Amino acid sequence: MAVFNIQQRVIECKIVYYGPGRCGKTTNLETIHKLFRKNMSGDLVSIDTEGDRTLFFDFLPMGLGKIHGCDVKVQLFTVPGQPQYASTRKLVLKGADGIVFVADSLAVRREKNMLSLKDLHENLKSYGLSIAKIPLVLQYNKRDLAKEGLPVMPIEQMERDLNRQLKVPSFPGSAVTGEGVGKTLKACIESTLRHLQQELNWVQK
Amino acid sequence: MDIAEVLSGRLSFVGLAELLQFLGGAAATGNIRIFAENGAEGTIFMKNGEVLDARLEEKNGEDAFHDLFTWQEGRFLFVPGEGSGPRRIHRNLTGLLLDALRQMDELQASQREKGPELLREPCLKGPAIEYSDVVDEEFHRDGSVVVRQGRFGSWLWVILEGQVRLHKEVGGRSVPLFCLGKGAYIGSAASFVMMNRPRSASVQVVGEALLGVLDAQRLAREFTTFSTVLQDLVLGVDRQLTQLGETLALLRISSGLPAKTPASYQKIRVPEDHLSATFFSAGGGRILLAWQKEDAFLELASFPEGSVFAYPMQKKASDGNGLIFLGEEGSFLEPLEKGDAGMLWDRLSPTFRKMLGFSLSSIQTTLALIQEAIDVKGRKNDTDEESC
Repeated sequence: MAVFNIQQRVIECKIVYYGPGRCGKTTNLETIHKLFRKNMSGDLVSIDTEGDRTLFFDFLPMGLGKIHGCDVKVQLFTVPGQPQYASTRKLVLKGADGIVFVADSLAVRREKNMLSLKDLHENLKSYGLSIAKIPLVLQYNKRDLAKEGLPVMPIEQMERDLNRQLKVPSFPGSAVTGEGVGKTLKACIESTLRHLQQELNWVQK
Repeated sequence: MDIAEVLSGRLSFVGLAELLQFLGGAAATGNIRIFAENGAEGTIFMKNGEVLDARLEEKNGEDAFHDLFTWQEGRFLFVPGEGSGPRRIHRNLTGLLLDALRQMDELQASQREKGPELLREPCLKGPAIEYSDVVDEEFHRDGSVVVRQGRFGSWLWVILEGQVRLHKEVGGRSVPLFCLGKGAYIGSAASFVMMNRPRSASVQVVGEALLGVLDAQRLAREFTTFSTVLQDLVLGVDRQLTQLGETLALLRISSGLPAKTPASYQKIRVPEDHLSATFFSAGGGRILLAWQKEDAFLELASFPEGSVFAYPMQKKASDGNGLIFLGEEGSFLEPLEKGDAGMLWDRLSPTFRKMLGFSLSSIQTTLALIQEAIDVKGRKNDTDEESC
């Protein structure tokens, strides 16, 4: 649920990076923070959680126009992937307008990916949101590891495992090198804004 | 008291996290006063939607904030207006909230670890769940019977959440064997040979359980691609488990010990150089798995010539009690090398690999329980004799 700040004429929406622990959510956001410095407002907030860090910052997408005369501000979040951080995860997910699900391409993390996607589905459901309706984009991260000879799942298999029913846009990526990071975010912001626009039009009628 | 109260409520309905986010979004300036049922009172100071400071008894700053954050019950009151104290909290609201929640989650996790075990009965968990062959999920309530011994069926499940208890029906009685937990498999590989085969045990849900239905057709198709030796192995392990389950159930209901092995059977040594092998086949005649109790040998399971079984790899107790193999004259243990099994472990699908691994740990658990039951029975018998 986006927040409308009437005084400043800004729509704030929230995009959450979700995925299993150590899949590269944090690296995604760090890379975005580095690459798009001019689009930032405010600092990168980082909370140390066991296993990985939880990040948050505001992002101002350029050139996406206005919605009903309002500027758009995007808040980017990561969630702690470890199971014990359930209430942190819930707070972050609550009111999310769009989701980027970061999956780990390493073959050994296959099950973790599926579990985490299921967890996302359940968490969304507890807020009355449906994984089938919320703007969602998948990223198959760590593609670069194949070059180092590590067993990486083929894209087709990951599509089958994770995207067979969802059928949402998906991107191969490497958060460390920055490959696919911008593309993923752009696709998610576009899909989120489109969704928002549709909801607003519907309200107007 | 003359205070300009603009917003009040109960924390049990609106948590502090929601309240702070709302006030943050409204760029509010003022104090949130929080009253616990036990009379304690704390205050959070806000300006333009950011938290400046918090106070709880002698504590202030983030310490006080984190303590207040754990309160689940109590009343809050928002009083608008500027405070005059120093700013002790410098993080932005989102950062502050995320950190407070993280601390709460970590506290709860550490408390859970210390919590008492709910079920003291042995519970055999399976390997990490393999989702690739799970085609459906079924929710079962407490006490519901998933599988009934003697009925026909070829469905297979993996436990996704919760626990079930294995029962063996012997002599008209239902004897509980042990519990199965997350990752354990229900159903047997034998159903791949005969799609309709009676179930060898009953399975009842304890508490609530979520079961994953396995793609039995795909698994059956994979089974047909196995070499004969590998098929025999899967079926042999399954039969062995059924036999041991029966032995355990009989031990539990009757006061006696398992039957003594026929005198014509002789002890067979496990070939020294094959101690590391897990699977053997019975060569040259029938072989029995027995428990040695002083001079007596108690029969636990029997394997006809040519059948395959798992060697439970238990170390022999020093007092002469322990697992041994006995055989007809001329029989011997033939280790199944990976090569002649045609068992290309890596080529097995993950589900099969995990099911087989789980069968082996089930055999070990059953044997450990058999040993426990024999020890108890043995002691009881000893005292009975004395009292006679």
